[in-house]
Amino acid sequence: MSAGLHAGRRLEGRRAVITGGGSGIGRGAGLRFAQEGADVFLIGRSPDNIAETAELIRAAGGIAHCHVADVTVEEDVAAAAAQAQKVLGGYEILFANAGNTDRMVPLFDQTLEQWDHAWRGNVVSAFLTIKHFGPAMRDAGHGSIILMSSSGSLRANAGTIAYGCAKSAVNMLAMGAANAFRGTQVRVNAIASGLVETKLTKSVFDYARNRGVEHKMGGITPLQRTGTVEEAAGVAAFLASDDSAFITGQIIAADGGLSSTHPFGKVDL
Amino acid sequence: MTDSDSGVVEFADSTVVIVGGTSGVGLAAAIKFAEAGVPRIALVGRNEDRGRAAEQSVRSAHSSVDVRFMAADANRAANAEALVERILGAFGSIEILLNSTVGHAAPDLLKNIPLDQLESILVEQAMGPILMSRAVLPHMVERKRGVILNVASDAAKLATPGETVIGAAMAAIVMFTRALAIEGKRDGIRANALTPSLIGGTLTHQRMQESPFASKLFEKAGKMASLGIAEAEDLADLALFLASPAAKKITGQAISANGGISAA
Repeated sequence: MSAGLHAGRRLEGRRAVITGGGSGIGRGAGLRFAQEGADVFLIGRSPDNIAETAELIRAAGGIAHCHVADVTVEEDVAAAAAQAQKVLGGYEILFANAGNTDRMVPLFDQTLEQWDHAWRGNVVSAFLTIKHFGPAMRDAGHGSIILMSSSGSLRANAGTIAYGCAKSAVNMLAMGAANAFRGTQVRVNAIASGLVETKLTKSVFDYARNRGVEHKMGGITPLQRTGTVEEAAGVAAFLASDDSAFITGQIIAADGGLSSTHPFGKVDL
Repeated sequence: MTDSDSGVVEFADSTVVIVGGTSGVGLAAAIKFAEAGVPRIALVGRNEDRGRAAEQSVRSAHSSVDVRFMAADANRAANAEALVERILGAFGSIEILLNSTVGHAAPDLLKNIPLDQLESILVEQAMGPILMSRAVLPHMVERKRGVILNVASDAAKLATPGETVIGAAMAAIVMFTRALAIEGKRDGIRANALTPSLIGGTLTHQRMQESPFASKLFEKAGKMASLGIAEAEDLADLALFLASPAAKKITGQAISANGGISAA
């Protein structure tokens, strides 16, 4: 097992389902969960991408399964849940990580298609994932569901308006679902991730690189930098583990402090 | 796939699963598979301590092999299926399955075996290979290749006093393997049985010494092994040959390696 960010083997014997497991934070979480001892079931649209994540996990001594599905399509999600149940025999961790984003467009030029796209890719996908994977967790009586949100859900200008609105709905889904699971030890939380370079955010990074201002990215946060996939995966591993056993219905910001700050005015040390 | 490829799996890109791989024939075979260049080996057994020790000894035979112990009792259907999924999760494929499990029952005259033990003797010995072969089959069929090796016993071939039920269980494994070979050939899958007699130096052999009847039986058999009593390594050599491309036309056979104790 490779070194790196490592908090031990908190997920030994656990089974984890990850949507959007073919790249970015989903891939990073897959590696981290496996590193902490979990068997991982990866869901994604691209067979090649999830197979590559699985190979990385296996090469590091972990156990990974792949399943191709589009989590915005209900039949796909239902079939994925049945397959996860069959292959893993149950699961304690569900990371509804899959999401999408769209282009920056002036408000008055935005189209209904863009808004449908953001809603479907971020909210409907998370809802369907909870709807079809949740019952087995309710029946088991325990588990951790992690939704993928964004600092764009908390503040303006950290993503497009449609994306921010959709991720705000994801936050409410986390709170609502946490309460719907009342009486069980199934927890539901969301990670409000700051800017991390993944396939989803690549265009933002490319834009900055082309203008030669990459070093300024994340500059308005207290930590004055962007985040890494490993850091996001670390938060997911914390929420997946019993270290967060008393945390539910929360939006955990992992954004370098962006959601604590105000873009104008500075108080120096 | 051309006909000349059918039945061939190359060691260099194989995952070998050895049920009962933590001691005796299974462990000896694991070491030899590793030495022969098999990159991925799953050792399945019930005993965690023995499993970890077996992992170590395979690793020290060949440091680059990815060998992993998987704790499981393959004698239950759900376990066998979950185990195969887990191994696929760890390694991505299974090319060779070697079932080398031994029941706990020592040979004894039928009149002396309590009625309520008969079923468990039969099931404990015969069901493991059947369940594991069945569990791994869809994967091998899909990929149109695979080798299944089941360790049974000469008791399947030769009527031996004290081995009525054990012999019946071993015969079940052998006939299962032969029929499996005929079913599997169209998908490039080969299946063979190994039928040892007495194997020296194994845990089973040690355990049999504790029973006066079994130790007498084995002592007599040992005297007939003019070529020497077979060791775990002898059976492991046979397993490697049967799994190798050199045996690509061999399927549905039950082959003894017994130092000359019998010829059947």
